[in-house]
Amino acid sequence: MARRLFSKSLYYSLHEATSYLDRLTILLCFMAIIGITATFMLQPHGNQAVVTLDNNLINTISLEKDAHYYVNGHLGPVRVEVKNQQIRIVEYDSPRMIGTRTGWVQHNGAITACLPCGVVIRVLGNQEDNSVNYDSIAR
Amino acid sequence: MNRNRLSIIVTSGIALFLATALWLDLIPRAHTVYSDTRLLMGTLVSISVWGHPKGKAETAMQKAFAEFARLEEVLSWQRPTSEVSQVNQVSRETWVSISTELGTLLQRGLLLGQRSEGAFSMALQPLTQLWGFSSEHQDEKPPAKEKLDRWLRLYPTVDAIRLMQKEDKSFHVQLANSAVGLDLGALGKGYAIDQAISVLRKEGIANAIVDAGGDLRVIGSKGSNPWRIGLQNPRQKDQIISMSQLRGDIAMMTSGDYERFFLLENIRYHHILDPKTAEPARTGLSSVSVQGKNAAEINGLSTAIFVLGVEKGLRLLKQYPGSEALLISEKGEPTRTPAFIADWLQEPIKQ
Amino acid sequence: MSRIRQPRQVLWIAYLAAAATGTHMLETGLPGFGPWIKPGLANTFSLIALFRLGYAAAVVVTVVRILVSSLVLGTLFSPTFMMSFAGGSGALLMMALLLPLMDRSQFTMNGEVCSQALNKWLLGPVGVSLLASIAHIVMQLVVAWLLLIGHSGIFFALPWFLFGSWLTGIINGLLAYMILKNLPTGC
Repeated sequence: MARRLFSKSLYYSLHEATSYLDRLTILLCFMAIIGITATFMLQPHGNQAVVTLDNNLINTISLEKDAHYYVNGHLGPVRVEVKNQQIRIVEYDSPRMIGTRTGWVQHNGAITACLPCGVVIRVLGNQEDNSVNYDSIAR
Repeated sequence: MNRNRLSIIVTSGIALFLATALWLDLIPRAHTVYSDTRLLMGTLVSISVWGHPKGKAETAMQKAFAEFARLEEVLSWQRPTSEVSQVNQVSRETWVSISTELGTLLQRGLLLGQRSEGAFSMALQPLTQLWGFSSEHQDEKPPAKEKLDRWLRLYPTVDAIRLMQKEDKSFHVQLANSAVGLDLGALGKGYAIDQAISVLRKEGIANAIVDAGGDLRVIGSKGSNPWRIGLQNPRQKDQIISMSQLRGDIAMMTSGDYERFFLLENIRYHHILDPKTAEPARTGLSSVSVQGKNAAEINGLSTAIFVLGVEKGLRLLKQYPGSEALLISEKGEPTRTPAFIADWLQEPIKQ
Repeated sequence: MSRIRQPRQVLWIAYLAAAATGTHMLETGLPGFGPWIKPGLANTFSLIALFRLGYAAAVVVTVVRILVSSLVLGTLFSPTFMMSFAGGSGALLMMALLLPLMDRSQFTMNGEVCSQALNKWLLGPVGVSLLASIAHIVMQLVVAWLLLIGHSGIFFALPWFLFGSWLTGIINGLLAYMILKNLPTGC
């Protein structure tokens, strides 16, 4: 009984308290919010990586899909692998195999590179990554 | 006047004031750090800029990278066309005219060489080549003993590089003999960092880091937050042993035995060579970090301290007021001067 | 039309400002809600002031609420204060824009026109509250982005914030309507 009264009074108050323009505003705002939400949902999210050879952009790779690529570096081909939103490079021939030893990287701004090959990979995120605590690493 | 209208004007005024203040950077903004990385001088050069609009930051970074590329063409002995290479190609004991830029830099390096009693030298290019630390394919073994002995016999302990400034202020340089060749190494990288910073400043950038392969200089801050610099554990690549919170204008340069090295029969052969022995410096240190105003100077200083060892090194440091150092021994024990900015995070792994 | 001349009107502004300040502080102290999620009940009083006493009164109530509550809570000129300030000025700006579309006739303290229903094609408290609430959250997000967080990460939560402000805007508007209806007018 009390519940029915409450819901009824809510209906009447809503009805009485709002003009047509009010209701139109409520509806339009709701639709606009749904629209904005939809655009946000549809936007590509997740990280990408930029592959450069001698500072020239070779490719921008999405980290969303597992795949592998080859880049022709100065010391022969370098394999670039994407797996589980991480990326790594595997060198076949490089004096110290630094790139291979670096292993998987995934955070925004992370770098893996084979300097003698001229290949540098940088992860670009569209979201700030707070797990990276340092602005630079001194070594 | 209608009070409604007055109130609207006041509200709009407040909003307009807020907007203008934000627009004119009157209120410090916590923006994203914009950063970019290039492969230059044989290392990864990263520039990060904070607190400026994206377009401005990117233009400034481009110009700073261009400055780095220009200096690589002057200072790198690996580039056959560079000014340094041209000096190295000229037969010994003849005077070669050089640019004021290179001359001034050599002057500073020679002073450091004197003060460090020869521990720091810019004349070791032939020796570096013997050891092969800069070539693309490293032989994982030390060069033959005879070759090193021959180099040691030839290498003059004083006056390996002779620098002369004529009355018209032009610089001329002469190399002593075939055991001597210009390799500005540490000093050159530091100088390039300094130049990149001054380019950024000229472009109106107040907050930035220029990082060349782990050697860096910061200006400004990230608003109320300092720049946070981690120091890599010399014996464990993925571990950070200390954090330096830097702001204002400060450079931090590190020389270590772990950047370029090979291991043979448990002996670590690294790239910091001691001209007195023609071998990698062995003073019980694994890394030396120096903080100071001038990247070029303290970059040479960190190398010199590494070669000299703790005692002599700290004595040398006293000749450079405003410079502070953190020395880490091979066992992982730190020695630091009082004003070195770093929070020790953990005991490094002892070996 | 809405000049604040009479002592009774000034008294009403004081009542509303005090109530708004109290509610604001109560909301800040509510457990479980961060500085981000608030029902925004305090804005109801600005809305009542707007409909009952006019725009100038709404400005006074809002500014007094933000200033006094931050003075009492000790957050003056802190980021929290900046956020409140930004939100408040956003809502006030929106109210200013909507002034020509508002039907205040049945709510004004010394009403000359005593209509019994809202004009169908003008905005009542609910519509104004909804739009002001959205302006409030948008302004806050923009200022938070510029001043505090420094990256676009917060915009990923934008749909949630917008939906939340849509809901609280309607509820606060209804509340304001109910209170306004029960206040004595000149009719």
